Parts: sequence; structure tokens; C-alpha cells
Amino acid sequence: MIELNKVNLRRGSFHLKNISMEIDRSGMHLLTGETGAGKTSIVEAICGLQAVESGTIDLRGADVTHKDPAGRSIGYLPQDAVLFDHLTVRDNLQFSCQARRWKSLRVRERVDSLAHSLGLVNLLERRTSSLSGGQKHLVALGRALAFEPDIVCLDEPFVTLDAQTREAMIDWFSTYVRENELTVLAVTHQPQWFNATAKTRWNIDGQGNVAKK
Amino acid sequence: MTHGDRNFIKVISVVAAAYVGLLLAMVLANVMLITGDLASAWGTLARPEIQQAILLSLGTSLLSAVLSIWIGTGIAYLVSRERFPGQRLVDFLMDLPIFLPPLVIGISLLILFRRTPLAALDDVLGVAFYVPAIVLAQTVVGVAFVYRTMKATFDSMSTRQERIAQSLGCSRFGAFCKITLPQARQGLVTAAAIAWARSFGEFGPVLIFAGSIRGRTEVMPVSIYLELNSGNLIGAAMIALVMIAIAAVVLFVARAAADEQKISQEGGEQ
Amino acid sequence: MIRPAVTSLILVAVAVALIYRAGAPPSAGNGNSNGSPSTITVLCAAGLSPVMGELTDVFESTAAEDSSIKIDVSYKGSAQLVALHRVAQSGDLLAAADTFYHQPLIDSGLCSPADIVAYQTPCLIVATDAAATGSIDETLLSGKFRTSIPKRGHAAIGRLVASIEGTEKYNSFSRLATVTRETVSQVAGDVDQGVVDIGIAWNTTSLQFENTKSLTVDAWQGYRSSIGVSVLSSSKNVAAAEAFKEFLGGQRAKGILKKHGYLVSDGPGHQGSVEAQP
Repeated sequence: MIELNKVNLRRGSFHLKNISMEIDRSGMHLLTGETGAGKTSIVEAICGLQAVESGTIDLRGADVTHKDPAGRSIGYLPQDAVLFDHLTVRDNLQFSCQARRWKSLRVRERVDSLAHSLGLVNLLERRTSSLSGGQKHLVALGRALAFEPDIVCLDEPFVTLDAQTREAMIDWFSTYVRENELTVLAVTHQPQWFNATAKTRWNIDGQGNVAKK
Repeated sequence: MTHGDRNFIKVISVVAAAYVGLLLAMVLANVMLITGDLASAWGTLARPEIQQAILLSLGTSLLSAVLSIWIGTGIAYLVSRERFPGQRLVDFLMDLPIFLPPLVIGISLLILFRRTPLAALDDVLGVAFYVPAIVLAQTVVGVAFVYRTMKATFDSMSTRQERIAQSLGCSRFGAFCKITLPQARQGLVTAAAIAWARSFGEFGPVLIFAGSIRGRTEVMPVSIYLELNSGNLIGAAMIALVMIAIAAVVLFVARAAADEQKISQEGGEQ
Repeated sequence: MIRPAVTSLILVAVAVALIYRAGAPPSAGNGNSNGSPSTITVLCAAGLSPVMGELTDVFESTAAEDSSIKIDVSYKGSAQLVALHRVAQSGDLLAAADTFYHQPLIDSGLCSPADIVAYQTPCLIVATDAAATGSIDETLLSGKFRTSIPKRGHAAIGRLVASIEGTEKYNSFSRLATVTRETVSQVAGDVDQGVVDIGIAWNTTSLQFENTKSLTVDAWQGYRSSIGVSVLSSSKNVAAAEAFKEFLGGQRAKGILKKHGYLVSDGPGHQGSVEAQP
């Protein structure tokens, strides 16, 4: 599903060399490592938001190394949410569906169902700038899932939620992943949250070596 | 506030009051002058060529502002977001219309349209000394101001939202329209206001490139020049006051549009 | 993108409508605007604007009744008119403040020799309520008065007076002046607004500025500048240009010129251009 072959990437003075990993089945996969090791860079390279210097990235068996982000159809949850603050929660959630020109009825149903699952029903018409950190995170998660992608990348999911909400959300998300046969790559510092569901765990060390654990 | 802070505020308050007072006094001086002879002031406004000049000024400045916004915003986005050879040169060239004396803009346009092979085209199209020359002269300067404003706006905006929008399925163009432009709206309103104001008051380039032709390329600043030349100081002051009034209305509307945007963005606070 | 595009299109439409509305000249007494009138452009010294305005109005409404010629006038300082014409080379007639300015264009084949239509004489311009001032030396060199002096290189009047008084003395006028100006209108404006007490201008200038009057200078008697009209070689409508030129030399125009203080004479010019020395 997701395959990195000897990927080199550079962001300013930061340099990652010869990253190779292979995720070959659906389900939850974790990427762990110290802060600053380059986890986010790897995920963004997969999503097409970070240019690759050399090496290849394959998705669903096809080489997407030089494809633009839109062409990769990955639902991406950035660590800092990056919501569109000039839009409402609803607009944020339906953004990817509208970009794909879904019929309005289908968009509405999808947004309503996600809002229900994520507990955002009462916030739909609010502008995102007025939300709390946890609410923003949930909106960003919903936005990443809205267009029903089969591959999802999450950067530090559920961190900004309170313990109770987090437990409920991880529970719901695990079910969602299983039912929809999603392939998920999640960057996390808390692998224990996903012990029950994680299929594989990849670790990146301070030298930038990625290994399956 | 410490003693030093209070003094700091005091000093800048005095400077501010002096400057604002000066501006106000300048306007009032015009008002005082025309109240001395209201009849001839109104008489000037009643003349057909002056009324034409008012309409022509409104029309050309509006057209130039719209053109400036589209062109200037496009270039600003390109320079702010892309890396290409000659980028610094482009950035420098965009400042030319700002630091060059307006007369030079006019002369350069005139030479370009009349002393180069473009002259053959100009003979057919009738740009120099006609209304298109006014719009061109105004737009050349307007674009530069829009560029400066919008480049600063785009530079201050993170590219991250655009990138995320692209990962959600938007094209580059789609992200620009749905994310970048709406978020740059404050900047756009400011840029439009500056471009319009510059175009409205543009004199030097218009005088040279469009001529100061009564009733044909006579915009309001040209009217003021012509009235002064024929000794009608009161008429000139009256036209200046009309310009102030028009600008006040337009800039007030622009400010209101910008504020409305701000409020609606901050709205829904808990 | 659709909304800004639509907004822009609406604004453009409004702008074009305004420009179009402005471009349609309000009917100021010319009921014969059917058909497409041929338009000619006169490059005219800014100082002549009041008289030229009246001359074109009269020409358009009466003299050209059959041919329906429309006159556009571009007003600038004479030196600027000529300099810019070398670049632009567009327009039909030239009427500078002095035939001196026509000469370089005539020499380079850009316009025809000038037909002189009127003269004006140099004088001092003072506020209407000013008392008699005395000799030139007393007024312009004593430092007792605030003065506005037209620049020798920019204004025809400056050239003429400098040729009478001598360059050196004229430079002294300029050095002692409160302000030096490019055009005679600016000088008159200074006097009119009370910025200065005294200036050098044409006899016709004070008629345009309500709060001013002219004082003749004995030493300057007999000098004058000649205002001429030339057809420009860039003219695309020579017939119409000639028609207006002819009108400017006619009796009707002479009356109007006289009313504005210009001297008109039917005989050959006495002093000729500003270059003439006594």
C-alpha cells in the first residue's frame, strides 16, 4: 500500500537519507521516534507536501514520487491541524468532497455523519478560529477522512484531547479503520494508545535510520 | 506605565496632532478660500468640461484600480510563492513606478508609444493622448502599489494552508482561489484602496502621456492644473475639495469593507 | 474565483459607462453634431487657455457650421509642448506663447512657418490695490519687495525681458526673487494670492487673474512677443487644421483676442519675435 525506496529528502539543513519502509496491508501502522528525527518529513513526503531528492514512493502499487498532493488521495491530519480559519467547521469538513465535485446530497450526508461521530454537530456553522485546540484537532481529523480515502496519514493524533474524549475517539477510529479497511500511518509518541490495533511499528532513530520493530 | 513610557506617548501624540492638524488645516484653507466666492466656485463645477472631468476621473480610476488588482496580485503571488531566475530583478522592477518621478513614467510611456515601432500600433489604436493613455498611466503606477501590498500579504501568510488544501484534492489554482485569496482579503481591500487613490490623483504621467486636453483627457488633477493656468484659483480649490469628498467616500467604503471582513472572521467567539 | 471575477466585471462595466458618459460632450450650444465631426488637436501654450477656450467655442459653434470640425486643445507650457511634440509627433496645430518656440520644429520640418495672430507685451504684474512702485531697479533689485520671476529658460516672458535688460541683470532679478517660476501663470498666481508683491508677466495675464493689474515699464515699451500658429506635419487632417488657422487670423478671432488684451495688427509685424533687439 505504502512503499518508500531509498528516499532522500532535505528540508533546510535537515537531511534524511535512504529511507525505506513498506506497509503492505491495511490497518493501523505507527511511526515513532525522537522529536526532530524526521517523522513529519517522512509523512509529508508520502502525502506529496515535501519534495523528494531521490528514491521513489509507491502508493497502491503505483509510483507517485512526482505526483502532486491532490493526485495521491491521502487523508492527511497535520500535527498543528492547519484549519482554514476563514471557513466554518462545515466548510472545512466538506472541503475535500467539494474539491472532488461530489453531489451536494452526498456531501451533506457525509459531513453530518462525520460530525455526529466526532461530536461536532453543534459546531458545524462556527468559524474554526473560535474553537478550542481539541475541537480543532477533531475537525482536522474529520476533514482528512471526509472524502473516504483508503490511505490516511496522521501526525500526532489525539494528543490535544482530554483523556476521556481521547479514549472514545481512539475507540471509534479503530472501528472505523477496521470497517473501512483503511491503511493508516500514524506518527506518535504514545504507541501504547494503539497497542490494541497497531499492525506494525516503525521507529526512526537519531541518525535517521528507519527500522521495523 | 512608567514615567518614560508616558513621555514617549506624549511626544508621539504631539507629533501626530501637529501632522493631523496640518492636514486638516490644508483642507480648511481650501474651504475658506472658496467660501469667499461661492458663486464662482459653483460656477466652475457647473461647467460641462469640469463635470466631464469628474466622470472621467471616476471611470478611469475605477478601471485602473480593477486592472491593477488583477495584475499586481498575480505578480505578487508568483514572486512570493515561486523561485525563478530573475526573481530579484522582477522584484526590483516592480518598485520602479514607486520611486521614479511620475513625470518620468509619462515621458517613458510617450516615448514607447510614439518613438518606437509601437507608434504604428498607436496610430491605429489611439492610445497616446486619448482615454486609454490615462488608464495605462494610472495602471502602471497602480500595479506597483498593489504588488507591494499583496507581496507583503502573501509573504506573511504561511503556505501551509495552501499545501494542505492541495493534499485534500485541490489544484494549485483551486487552493489559490479557495484559500489564499479569501485569507488575503484584508490585503486586497487595502491594495485596491491604494491603487484607486493613486489612480484618482495621478497627474504627472497623465499630463505627459494623455495630454491635458480639455474635455478629452481631462481628469480632475488636470482640471486643477488648467484652472490654475487660467487664473481660476477658486475653481481649482473647489475641484480639489470635490476630489477630497469623493476620496473620503470611496476610502470610507473600503475601510468599512475591510472591517466587516475582520468582524465576520472574529465572529462567533465563545 | 467566480465572485471576484464577477465583481471585477461589474466594476469594469461601471467604469466604462462612466468614461463613455464623460466622453459624450454635453451639448454646449452645438446642435450640429450629426455625422462624425473631424476632430483636430491644437497644442497650445497654457497661458493662452482662456482665449483659446473661447476661440474654439466660437469656431465650433459658428464658423465650422458646415464642416463640423471639433477642436481639442492640449495645454502645456510652450517649451514643454515643443519638447514633447518631438517625441509624440501627433496633433494638428501648434500655438506657442512665442514664435521663437516654433522655430526648432520649423527647422526640423515638423511644422509649417508660423502665421502670427497676436502680440502681447511684457509688464509688471502687481496686486490691484498696489500703489505705483517706481523703476525696475527699485522694484526688482532693491530687495524691498517680494518678487516672482519667470525663468529665462522656461517662460517666453523670461526670455524676452532678459533680452531687454541683459542676461546678467536678469540673473540678478532671479537671484533676489522670492520665487522663480516656469510659467507666467504661476507668476500671476503668486501675485493673485498675495504670496509676492510683484512679478513679471504679459499685459494679458493680469486680465485672467482677478486680484492683479499690469504696470507698464517704460524701458520695455516697443517690445512684444508674437503668438503664431503653425500646422504640424503630423496632422492627419490638414484641411481642418488650415480652416481653424484661417479662423484664428480672421476678424472674428481678432475681436476675441483684443477682448483678452492681445494686440492684433493687420500690417506686417514691427518687432517680430522675442529675439529682436532694439
